[in-house]
Amino acid sequence: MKTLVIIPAYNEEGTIQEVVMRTQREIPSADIVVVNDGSSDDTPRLAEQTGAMVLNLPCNLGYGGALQTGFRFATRHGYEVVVTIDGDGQHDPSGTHQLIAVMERERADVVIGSRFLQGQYRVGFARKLAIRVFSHLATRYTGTTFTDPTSGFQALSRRAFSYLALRDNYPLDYPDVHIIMALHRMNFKVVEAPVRMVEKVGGKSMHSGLKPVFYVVRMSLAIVMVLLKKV
Amino acid sequence: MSVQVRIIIFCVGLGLLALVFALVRKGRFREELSVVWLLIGLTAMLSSGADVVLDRVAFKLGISYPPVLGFVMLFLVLIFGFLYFSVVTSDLKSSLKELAQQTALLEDELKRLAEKMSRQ
Repeated sequence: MKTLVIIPAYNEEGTIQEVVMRTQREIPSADIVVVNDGSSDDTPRLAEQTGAMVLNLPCNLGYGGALQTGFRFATRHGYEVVVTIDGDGQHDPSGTHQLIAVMERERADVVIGSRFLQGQYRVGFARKLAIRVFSHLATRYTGTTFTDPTSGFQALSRRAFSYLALRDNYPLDYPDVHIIMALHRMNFKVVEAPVRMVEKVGGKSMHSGLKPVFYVVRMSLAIVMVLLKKV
Repeated sequence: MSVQVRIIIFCVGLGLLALVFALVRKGRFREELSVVWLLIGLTAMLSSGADVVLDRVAFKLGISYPPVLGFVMLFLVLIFGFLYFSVVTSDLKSSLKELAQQTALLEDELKRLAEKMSRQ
């Protein structure tokens, strides 16, 4: 299967080379594209040194905007499967095999890597609470159990990523629980698979400071919009 | 309200209208966005004589302190102004996203073409 690993990166000069090289070691048959989301540091040059393809966004669009650029790239170049891995070193690329295996076995369109299905992973109280609430919502809405709907470690089929590559089908900031719900509503099969994640080794969390409060409000509104949207 | 104050408010509104016209003429302000500011300038001009009308309307609506009506109207104008510019900003953000993504993808295509040509 023609596989593309998309690594969105914003000021990840401390980790990007390690992430790309680990991915190359784990999945040598896959192509890797780093989407440089308007970094002001040395991220694009360091990523190019590893031999990965680099797409340079002229300004910072946000995590979702960078991923959608990767989806568009994958659609244009005829990839069959896309795997998304964060550039901060949090995701262990060895989990990719498990995600793709589950995708094939379950005939799923999207497989979300859950850090909570296998072993322990420490998260702050506010984030834990938000994940619990949104997991419950996603589970109730789709009828499938979700434990980690905020995970960015995912495998997507061509059908799914070419749908998300369309103009307004993907948000600029957080593509989380509302995307699971929107995909379910459009009859895409979304499931979870256990993956290993490590604590952040570099970069700045997009859930720091007052951002969790904004995140909960933003996500609640996005969920309402999904529920109101006509199919 | 004294005549002098009325004249000052009228002139401020007129000045704002003239400034908006000048900016549109020089191409530094898009016509569709200037409409809101033209309305604000016009409102400022008309407000120089608004107290006469405002007092009557306020008392008819049962508002014992007429300036409250003025503040409420001003508040509503500002809210709609904010809403209008938020919509404009959202549109711009969507367009910016499209442009940025297309730029990154086209830059990549260009790089591939250049590499292909240098190999030939």
